Amino acid sequence: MNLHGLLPEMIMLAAAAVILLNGLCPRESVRRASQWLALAGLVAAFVAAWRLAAPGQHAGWPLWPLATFGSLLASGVGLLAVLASWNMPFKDQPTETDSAYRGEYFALLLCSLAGLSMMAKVNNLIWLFLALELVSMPTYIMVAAGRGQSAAQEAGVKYFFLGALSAAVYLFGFSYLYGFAGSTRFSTIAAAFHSALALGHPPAIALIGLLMVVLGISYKIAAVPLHYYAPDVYQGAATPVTAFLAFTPKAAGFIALILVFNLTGWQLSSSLAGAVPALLMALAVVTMFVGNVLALLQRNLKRILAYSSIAHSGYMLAALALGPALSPEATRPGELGGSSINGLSALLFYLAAYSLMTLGAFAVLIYLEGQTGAAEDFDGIAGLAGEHPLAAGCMAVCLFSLIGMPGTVGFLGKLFIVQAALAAHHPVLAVIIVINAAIAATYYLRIVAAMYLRAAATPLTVRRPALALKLSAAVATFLVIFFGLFPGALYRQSVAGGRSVPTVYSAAHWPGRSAKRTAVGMPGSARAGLWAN
Amino acid sequence: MLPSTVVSVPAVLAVGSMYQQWALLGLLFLIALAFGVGNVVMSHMLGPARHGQVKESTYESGVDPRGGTKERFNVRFYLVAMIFVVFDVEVLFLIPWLSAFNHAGHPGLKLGQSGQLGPPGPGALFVSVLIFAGILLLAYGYAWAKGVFKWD
Amino acid sequence: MNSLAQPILLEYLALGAALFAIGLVGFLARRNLILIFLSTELMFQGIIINLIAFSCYYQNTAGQSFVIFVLSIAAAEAALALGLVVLLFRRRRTLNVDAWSDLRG
Repeated sequence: MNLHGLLPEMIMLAAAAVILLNGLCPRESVRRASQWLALAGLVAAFVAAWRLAAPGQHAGWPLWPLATFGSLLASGVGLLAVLASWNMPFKDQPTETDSAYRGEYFALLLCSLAGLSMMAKVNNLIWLFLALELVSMPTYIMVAAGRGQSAAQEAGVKYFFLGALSAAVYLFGFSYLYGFAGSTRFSTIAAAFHSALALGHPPAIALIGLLMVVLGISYKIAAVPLHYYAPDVYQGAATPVTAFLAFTPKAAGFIALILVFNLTGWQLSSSLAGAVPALLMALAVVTMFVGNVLALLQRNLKRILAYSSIAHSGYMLAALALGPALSPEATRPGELGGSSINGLSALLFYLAAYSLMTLGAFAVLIYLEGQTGAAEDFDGIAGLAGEHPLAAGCMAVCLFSLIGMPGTVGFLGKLFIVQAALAAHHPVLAVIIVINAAIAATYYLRIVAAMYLRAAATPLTVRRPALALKLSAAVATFLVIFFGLFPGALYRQSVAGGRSVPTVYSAAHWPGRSAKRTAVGMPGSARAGLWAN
Repeated sequence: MLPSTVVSVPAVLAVGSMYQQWALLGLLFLIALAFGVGNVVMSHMLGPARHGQVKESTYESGVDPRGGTKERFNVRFYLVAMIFVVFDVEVLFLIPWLSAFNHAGHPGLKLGQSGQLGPPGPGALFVSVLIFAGILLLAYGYAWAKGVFKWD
Repeated sequence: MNSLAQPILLEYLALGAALFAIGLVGFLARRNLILIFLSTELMFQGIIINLIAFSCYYQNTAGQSFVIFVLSIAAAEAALALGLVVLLFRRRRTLNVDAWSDLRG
């Protein structure tokens, strides 16, 4: 990959620098351009990513489809996130903007998105570390400074300190992976795993490293061993920041996990190493149940969405645990339905779907906060359908999609994961996912019922919300339905991304600085069942 | 086991297992400890001891201290200190850059041609460090404009 | 890999793991925000010792370049932590973590 391949990230970071300087201007009218600059930067980055996603680009780079998927996701969903945080950062109440720090907020947002966009383009542990931290560090500041309330600062300090701990944990894992292979290059580590697995089982140092990396990154995706922070942080942060948190670190964490497991060649099926995918599967199941069951007990909408975010991480972890194992009969690429989708393609599709629907739901909450000051519990949204039918409609569609109702993108996401589970001969996992979807329906429908069946407790004051807020909710909802009915473009991108993944870096092609990276893929039939045992 | 060029040590320490290197280190530690403790004890025993108000002040012939030492500092000290730490650590990146400069490839810019990054020439290395310094300068200018260094 | 490095490697790794473990225990046991942050720094130092030890063992510079990046990220985190701590202290006049537990389900 040459520098041209990093064009989307460079555009985002350049835009961040311009916004940061623009925010220093003493004149309010100039600082107001921050959001527009962020939008322009993300549109340019999206166009650049789209051009890079064209077939034939960077053919020597085995993970290129995954990389472009990450760039498209970051810049595309990032556009919606910028629209949703149009009035950020908040001073004390969500209705007033602290315009002195506008430049900082949007610059940080763009930096974080650049990290996500870069995530799948890394080929070295050092770069992976930098990309993960580039995603996380700005979000710490966004949480703490996003609104001037004590709750936001408490959320910020919790998020930051636990984030630093998780960084230390996965970094310790990185140091052991480096010690195992003697290099931080992915290709060398993969070759070391390849030869170690061929001999039997990899040494303990590799497995300890792998487990600590998984543990540390599970913080970013809010999966079970490190999920405690999520409800508090989601509740305390300003709602636009919460929407951003629900999407960016999660997507970055999953892409990083894909890259890390790709080092093992997805062949951890020997006695000791086989514990890793089994552990992943167990974590997935526990995460689903914890998220969904605890969400039933909540009254605060942001906490409900936080636990729902944990539960959705569980579904995606299940898809990750299924790995790239394709069933032997699935050979026709690009065909919708059937069992042509592997676990990782399902994961990528679900990631995009989840980003859209959760962003839509949060956008409606932000819109309501602009109306009432705070609409955080069931009373705050009671009778919404009568007063703001469009907002209630958007919310309902996004919630139905989070449940997985047919006709929405959430349904297809769950369908693909279940298909991948069945194709990999894990019917029990498929059943567990369906049970969890049923549990989840309870609390989502409770929100819908409050909006449509209850009368408003207090009449909602009508302020003039920013057009951008309405636009973000509407566009997210539209995309949820659009991709639910015509998933073609998203499906193709995620299948390409998922297919590119089972890369066995060949030891014979030890890449020097200028040598082309060569991937030696194994035929689909040989791959089945190796990872998912 | 031991390379012969390391140090000339007594034969009893140089042979045998690696762990005898640690014995050498322990011996050094003991000598250092004895030297330090011995000096303190000796000066205590041999030196003249006088007491008094002036003798026991913090700085015997200096400015009289005022106030306790546990007083709270202005938070600006920390702001400047943190900015110093960040820039101080960033300068660390110049060391690998410098050592890469010794192995620079052919002169001329070779950034990103035909998908291959050959060994960058001195021009490319210089441009890259200029970009790096520019980013640092941007952060410095930002801190300045935010009034971090204003001390009123 | 030279013969001198190999027996030493395990000691360095043990040192790194010990620093990491001390930091982890400190993180969990301490109640003061600054001490908690220092504990994470201790964990980072343990990682750095690991990386340097492997770097010497394999006689390559990948680990050392990794260390420079870890150091700079740790410095950035220190700056961020201090900013947060000052922000919190101004609001509550205490650095005890237990003073910050309003968010509950």
